[in-house]
Amino acid sequence: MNWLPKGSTPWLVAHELRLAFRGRPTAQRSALIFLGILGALAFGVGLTVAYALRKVEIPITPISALIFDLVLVAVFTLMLSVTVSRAAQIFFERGDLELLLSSPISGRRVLTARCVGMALSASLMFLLLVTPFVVSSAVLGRPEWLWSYGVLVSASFLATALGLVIAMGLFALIGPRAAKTLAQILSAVIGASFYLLSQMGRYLDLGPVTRSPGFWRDAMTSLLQTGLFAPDQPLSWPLQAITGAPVPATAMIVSAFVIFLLVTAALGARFERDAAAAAGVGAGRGGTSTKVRRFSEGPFSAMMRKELTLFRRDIALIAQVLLRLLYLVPTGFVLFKSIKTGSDIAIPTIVSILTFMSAQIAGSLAWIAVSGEEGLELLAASPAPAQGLRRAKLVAVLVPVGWLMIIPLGLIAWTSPQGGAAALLGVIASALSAGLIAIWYETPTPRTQFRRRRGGSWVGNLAEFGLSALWASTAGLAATAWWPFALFPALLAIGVLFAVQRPQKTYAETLPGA
Amino acid sequence: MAAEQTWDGPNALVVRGLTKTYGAKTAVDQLDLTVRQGELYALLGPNGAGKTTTLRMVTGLLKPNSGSIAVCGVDALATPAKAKALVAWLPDEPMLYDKLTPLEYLDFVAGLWSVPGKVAKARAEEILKAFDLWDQRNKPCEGFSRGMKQKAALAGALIHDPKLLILDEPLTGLDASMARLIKDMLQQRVRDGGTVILTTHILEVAERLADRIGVIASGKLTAQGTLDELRAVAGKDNSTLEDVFLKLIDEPIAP
Repeated sequence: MNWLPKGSTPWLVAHELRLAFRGRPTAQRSALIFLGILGALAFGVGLTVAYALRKVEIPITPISALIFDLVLVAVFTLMLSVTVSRAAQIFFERGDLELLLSSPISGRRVLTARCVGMALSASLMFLLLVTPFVVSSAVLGRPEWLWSYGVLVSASFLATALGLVIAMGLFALIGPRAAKTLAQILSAVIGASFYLLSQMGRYLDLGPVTRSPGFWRDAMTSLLQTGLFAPDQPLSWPLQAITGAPVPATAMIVSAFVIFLLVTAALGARFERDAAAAAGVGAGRGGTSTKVRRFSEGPFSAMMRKELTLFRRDIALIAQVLLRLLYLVPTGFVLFKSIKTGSDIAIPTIVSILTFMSAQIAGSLAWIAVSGEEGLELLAASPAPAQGLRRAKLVAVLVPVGWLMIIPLGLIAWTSPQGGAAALLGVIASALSAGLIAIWYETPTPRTQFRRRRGGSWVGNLAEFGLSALWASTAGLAATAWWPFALFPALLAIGVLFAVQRPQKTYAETLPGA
Repeated sequence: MAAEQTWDGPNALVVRGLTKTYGAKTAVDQLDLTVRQGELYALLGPNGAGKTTTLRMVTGLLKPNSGSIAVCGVDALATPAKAKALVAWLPDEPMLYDKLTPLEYLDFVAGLWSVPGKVAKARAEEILKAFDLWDQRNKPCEGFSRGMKQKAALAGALIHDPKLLILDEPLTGLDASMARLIKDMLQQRVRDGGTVILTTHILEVAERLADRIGVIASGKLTAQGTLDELRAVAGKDNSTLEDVFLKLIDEPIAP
């Protein structure tokens, strides 16, 4: 980045990208080999598809335009989900913000650079996903597919502009602290919105018409009859753009960039003000309680109380954990509805899903409590045994899981006592397993890096997922008439637990330079 | 090293032959150190001399390659939990849980050191009032200034009434009144029979507060004793600690 003019927007963007990549955990050799194999496989698939489609011309018709627009809307919502969350973080994850804002560089320029970095990172996953096909197609004589890069990048710049407007709007309306939390929740809801909407007909009883198999087909036909997706209409531009029509492609890209620049220019001045306001959050905040509380007795109780308090206080982080479960909501609705119809598979399926969910929640919370421990040095300097402290963390993790599961467990038990017992055992076993995996594969990482928690041990990740599936199968089978068969996955799960067990380190051993 | 005045009393810390290496680099090299009970001991040395590494080994945060550490007669390497129960450690960048209030933080630390609830509660109130943090006791630490955070962390270090209080650069970045408060507290602690070890780059602090001073350079203790004893070692009678220090770490002394 030395050749870029110092203090210019491109120089700042290069700085952002450098920080983004330096922040990632260093790839280990095994991870690099795995990525290499994955890349080769992706290119194999991409090349095959590109070869099969090398002579196929995508028809520009209203129906193809509508289908592609729906795909693009799905991609856009996922990008928007990322950008809303990142836009809110801009103000709170201080990093070098104070340094930048105290420099002679204008706040507007800082915001633009930060947003460019945000847009590029939001589009990165999609760019990587299409690259095997796009590059293979270009090599096989269809270079027009390269325009899809432009379409994706312009969508991400548009998503960034909108994400910024939403985050700063929330900031202005409800203040910095609430804005941060709400933006995280909104981000998860937006990310799941396309899926939830697509499933709406299955779980919302909007009358006989939504239950009709032809409802969605009729809805699409009505949309097509509006004429908005005709080849001469702007809604067909995205499809035309990726198939190489230069005018729609250029129009899309230019308009996205213009909107992006206008938004960042308009909000630049406000950005400095809001960032300064966010820096003062907490200082003037009222107390949490005025009474002098009872003090804990012993390390176990102290640790449990501390973890539960931190869970309760970090609403944004806990929202991230719980909102992942949004994707299971439609399935849950459908299954609970099917209990009414007396379906044989409804209860075992619900029991399995509940068991899997409890493992997911417990795994996430355990990662926050164990790997996200902020006071490692304090714990290392204390005489309390590490094993006991980690056990207290595990119990603290099980408490919120228990609260979350109590109602569904009660409903299942009310409908089927056997199902209730199976679900209870499944929930406890899967949550405990996930917690133990988090302890055995502890990787000290700041809590703010929760989204990157999968960057730790792949053995731990695989074991957590495998055990969740095994306990889900165990609980599901235990809820059926063939309950003795539940022993097989249960024994397998116990075997896996023994196989992946690792000796626990002391806290001093986890410190850097130990 | 010049002979120190003999001491027959109990020692708070006895370190013998302590060595810590990082690859080819020896951070602490066969270090011997004795800190007497009821004294304020200042460990001085240039950056990278091995002060923090030594103290981190004493507190059980780092494992030495060789040597022995005894805290109030307890072998810290053989029975680390027993030794840790006697020590409090305040690093130069103390960690506070941002989402906890000072009271909750003290509750947590007291729990780690198994201080009975009622005792901890009373002590927390006493310390927070002494540190002028009582009014802030129910506010999350995330909004605190550096000085307030330092005070809250120091309160945490004192909640279990340690026999040996070890502080790494405790006055860095504090304003004059805050620094004064902490210096007074440290002196009071020593008057009450406690032992304090601190590292500092502010030589005036060591000169005014410390009963004895140790000078460490390149991982070795080059001298230890009272200021007068150090002057004698350096051959700098009536000199300031700064002159003595620069002489002892073998750096040129400005005319």
